[in-house]
Amino acid sequence: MADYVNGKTDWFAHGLPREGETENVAYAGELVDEHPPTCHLESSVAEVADLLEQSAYGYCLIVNQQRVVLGRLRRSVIAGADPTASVESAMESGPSTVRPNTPARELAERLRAQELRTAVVTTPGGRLIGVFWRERLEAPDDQAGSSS
Amino acid sequence: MPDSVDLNGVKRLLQNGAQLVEVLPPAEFAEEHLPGAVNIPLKSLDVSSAAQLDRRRPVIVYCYDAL
Repeated sequence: MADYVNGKTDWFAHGLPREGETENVAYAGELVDEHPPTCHLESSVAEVADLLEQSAYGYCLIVNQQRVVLGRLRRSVIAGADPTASVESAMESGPSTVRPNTPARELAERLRAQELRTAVVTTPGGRLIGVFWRERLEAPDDQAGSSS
Repeated sequence: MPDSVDLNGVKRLLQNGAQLVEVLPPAEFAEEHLPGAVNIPLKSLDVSSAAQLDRRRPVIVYCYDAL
């Protein structure tokens, strides 16, 4: 016999499937964009600027080889930064993240209250699952605009 | 004494045909549980309730979290 010590909270926090009465309640992890702009610590600010040029995102997420989120570089910071500088020197470390089993409607309301449009969704260990866009709950087929 | 397993351990055991048992009360099980799990609340866990399990396959028990 084996004891899954971390229990179902851990399972759901990794965005894994579930059964039960809440099966039809949308969770944030099910509605994310799985391919937001990402780069590595060694990337340059100029590379990120290129990456964001045609992107709806207002930031790039810095991840390691395991896709663990290390930081975020905002478009507004890029404008005033040395383009040859490394992302590491310009990024903000450890951006706020949420777990994929956060109910999507609840998360959208939280974002609205804080006047934010997106939330970075990760596993408890920080591995990037994707980015949740508040607007997607209201208009799932719409392309999102700029982010905050 | 059961062995403690983490998420990767659970996935490995499930690939080998393990059975999942949630030991929380029925209402919490009904609300949300792992796919394929059966509910045997801790208070009713005995020889009789455990008889529904396949003795030839590994068993993984879980509750809400580590606390």
